[in-house]
Amino acid sequence: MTEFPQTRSSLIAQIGSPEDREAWDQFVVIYRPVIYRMARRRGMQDADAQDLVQTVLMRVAGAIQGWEKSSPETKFRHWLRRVARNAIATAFSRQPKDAGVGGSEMLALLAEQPATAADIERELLKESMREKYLRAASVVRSDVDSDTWRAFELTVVNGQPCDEVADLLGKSVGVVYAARSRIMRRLREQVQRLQESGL
Amino acid sequence: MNARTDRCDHKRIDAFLASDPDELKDAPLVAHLDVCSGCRVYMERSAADSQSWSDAAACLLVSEFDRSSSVEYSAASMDFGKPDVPTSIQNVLDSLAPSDDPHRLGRLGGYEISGVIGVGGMGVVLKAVDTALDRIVAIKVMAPHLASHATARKRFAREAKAAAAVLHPNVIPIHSVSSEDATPYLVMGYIRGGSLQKRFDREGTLATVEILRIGSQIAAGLSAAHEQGLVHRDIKPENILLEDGVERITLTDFGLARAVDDASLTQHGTIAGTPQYMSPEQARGEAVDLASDLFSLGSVLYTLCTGRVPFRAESSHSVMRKIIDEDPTPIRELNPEIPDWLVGIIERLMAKDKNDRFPSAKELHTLLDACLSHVQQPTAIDLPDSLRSAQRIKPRPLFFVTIGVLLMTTVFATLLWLTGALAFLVQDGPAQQASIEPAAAAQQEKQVQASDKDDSRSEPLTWQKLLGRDIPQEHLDRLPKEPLVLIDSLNKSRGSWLFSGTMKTDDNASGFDAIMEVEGGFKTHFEEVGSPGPGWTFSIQWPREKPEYTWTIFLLPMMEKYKVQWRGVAQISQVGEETSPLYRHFYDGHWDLARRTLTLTPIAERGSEPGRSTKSADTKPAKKPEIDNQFQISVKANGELRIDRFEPAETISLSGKTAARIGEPYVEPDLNRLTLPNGYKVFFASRLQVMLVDSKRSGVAGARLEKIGCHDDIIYGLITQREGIDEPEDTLGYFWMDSATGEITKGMELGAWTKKLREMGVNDPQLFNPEHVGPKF
Repeated sequence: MTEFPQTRSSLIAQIGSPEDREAWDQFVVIYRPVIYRMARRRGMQDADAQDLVQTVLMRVAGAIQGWEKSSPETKFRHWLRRVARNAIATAFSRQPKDAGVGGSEMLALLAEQPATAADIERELLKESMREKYLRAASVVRSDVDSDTWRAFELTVVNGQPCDEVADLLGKSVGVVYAARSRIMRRLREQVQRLQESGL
Repeated sequence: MNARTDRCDHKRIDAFLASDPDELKDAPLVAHLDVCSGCRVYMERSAADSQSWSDAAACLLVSEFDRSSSVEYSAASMDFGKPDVPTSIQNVLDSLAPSDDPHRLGRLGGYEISGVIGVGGMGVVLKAVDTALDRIVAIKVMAPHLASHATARKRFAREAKAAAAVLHPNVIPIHSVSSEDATPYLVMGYIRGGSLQKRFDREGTLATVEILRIGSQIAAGLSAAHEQGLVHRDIKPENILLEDGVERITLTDFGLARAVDDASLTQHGTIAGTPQYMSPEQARGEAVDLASDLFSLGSVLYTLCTGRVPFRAESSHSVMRKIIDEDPTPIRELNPEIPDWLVGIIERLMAKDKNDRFPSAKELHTLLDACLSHVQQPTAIDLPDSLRSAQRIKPRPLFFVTIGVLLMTTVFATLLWLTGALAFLVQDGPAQQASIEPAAAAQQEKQVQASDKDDSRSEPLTWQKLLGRDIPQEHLDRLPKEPLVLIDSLNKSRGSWLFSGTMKTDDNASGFDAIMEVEGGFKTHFEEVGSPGPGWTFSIQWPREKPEYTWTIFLLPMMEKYKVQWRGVAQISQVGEETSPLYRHFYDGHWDLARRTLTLTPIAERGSEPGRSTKSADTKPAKKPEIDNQFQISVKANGELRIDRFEPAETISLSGKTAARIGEPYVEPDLNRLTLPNGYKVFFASRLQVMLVDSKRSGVAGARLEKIGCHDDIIYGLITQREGIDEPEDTLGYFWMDSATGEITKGMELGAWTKKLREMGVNDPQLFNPEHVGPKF
């Protein structure tokens, strides 16, 4: 991933409070993969998608100056979210239909159909939610033993019946229920923490 | 674990949830959860609200798309969702003895394990090298949790030994069985390639010739097993292997999967494997015999024909219920390309009553083989005789509907007539019994009883009656002997299609749109043209908005000596004055099977009959018909009906074609249902067809409606024609319409993308209909 040297050194340096700097970091962590995925889904190649991520983040970073001057009463993270969404919506509604068009690229083309701002907003919400869950999952997963995680993954994510999974893992049904509820509880907590960041 | 609390203690559950899974185990509570569904529910609610549960499921499902993305950015990058070794495989691998060779995973008996091929309900399949014989083998190791189950072990050993006795190219060879070790295993031949399921997932429905090839080989393998008294019991696409490079099918897993089911059933009351291909008797839990395998094979073939399993439901239990009680959707409703005789074979395989199925796999194999030869060389080799007649022996009324649909392709019906398929007739009665097998005979008896009940009032139908006149005995001798039954649905073979024609008069040519009505069948109202026999009429009125002219063609198949002779009458009249046409000619018809074309040549004598003197005859002296005045009616392979060069007089020439496949059930053409942003209109030509028409109303592309959806300017569905209307290629997939040029340029197969569409919120990409268009992105 290309870093953002200018972003870090100059633009972001303008963010005054440490709290806001943290918000920015969190923003980049969550939105970078989100934007990337949205770009890929529109049929962009890896490198192009990375470029787009860069462009959007730069645009948002570039707007930071404007924030400090124009809207001192708005919380930085809320402002950031709004600006980011606009930048993303603009980026994607402008994308030309020049992506690859081989048969295998058709899905991308399909998705590339003129999407309304509302469509993009929905997709963005969905993707950022997804990113939060994925982040949370990677944290929770590293904390628990593999069978506990697997009980959760198989029953909740893959939707397999608990008794089947119990059988597969060689555990009792009660163990599977207990495991998946505990994971879910922690996952929810982690996601909530990310939600509270307001991004 | 055994100590369990019998109390429902919600506070204890809360504390349990809040604690670290690695620290607080609370075995009594966990044991309580084994039995208390109330506490399970409480715990799940306490852990998170239902929205979070479903969000988690949706968000964490890692797709192929994610996996294919750049590692750093993709969702899969979090070291999450990467396929890791399932516990069951790990358990098996752990149980292996260490190998001397560092490249191997371990040893099992005399085999060096080199990899894992797959995992199934029964256990794990490993790839291994037989060091003694230096050959690659596949070893199926029974899952440890089953290995501890005595009955399952015994059964495993017994079935494996039975399977080892079957030696046939289409059955996987069993090299050895070990049931003495802690983990029983089975050593089999290693087949390089994938399963039929994989191919099906990748490619969707297969071509008829492929279906026959696969079906015939499965039948051959089954036949070999059945001769040894071995019933497979779990015929399904996963158990049918396709060897790379050679066109060979290998059946695996004889009797084994059921061994697992029995164990699973006794332990948990559930069925481990998929019930989708089960026979009704299996679903009822009854004893099964070889007829059960035939049903399952029928279900597999059904799936290959239609792209979906015959019985679908949410739960295994509901699937089994459907297998017992319901008939699947008729194949031709899902894929009209499948020939009716193949539909007949599959329906017979899938008869609910096992006595109605084929008597043996061997017989089925012979039949499918013959069909395959026919399909590969249609002109040189005929369909097997038994199909031309046996097809009519049909246990269920479903078939009649299918035939009815077939006959709606009016001209196709004549084709069948001429090829001797005579599919429109149902035979019954004793005349044929000598030549048919016992099961069919039993079925026939039923049929007779049933039809006796139904048709008690009507007299039996005869050729004489059908053709409306006496037939000399010597001719009758050449005709099929079996009594005839008229199919009522035949009278539904009427419909309307959009027809676009050109009329050329002396010096100018003009196009017109018309609705073509087709009516026909073997109960006709054509007395006025002197034949009470079967026939069809095509009538085209134009201009469409305010019809002025009617162009009518009557076609009458008549028995002349040993063959069917077509007679036709074609006329043009002003609307409302059909009895005194402007032009009328009589024709003799000749079918060219290969070209699917009926050439109609004017009959000279009749052409000068005073009876046909019409308005035009007064102004225009009857011209001796010449060869030029022939005209043709043809049915293209894509179902388009074309009428070429109807020239009733020197000054006029008419040609035209249907804008859509003819022969689908009729729905009112509705051009206004959907207009695309660029002005193209989606035209629902019939219930199963959609056409895209441009401003000139010429068809641009077509798709089957059942698989159609649209979203802004994209329509997706079964592509029936992409370039040129004469040589269509049916491709299940998308077509992309460029909104600037209107060109249909790109397509892709749907099969492999079904999953992705699901992720995009398109729940069942195969089930769109015009009332429900567009994926919800």
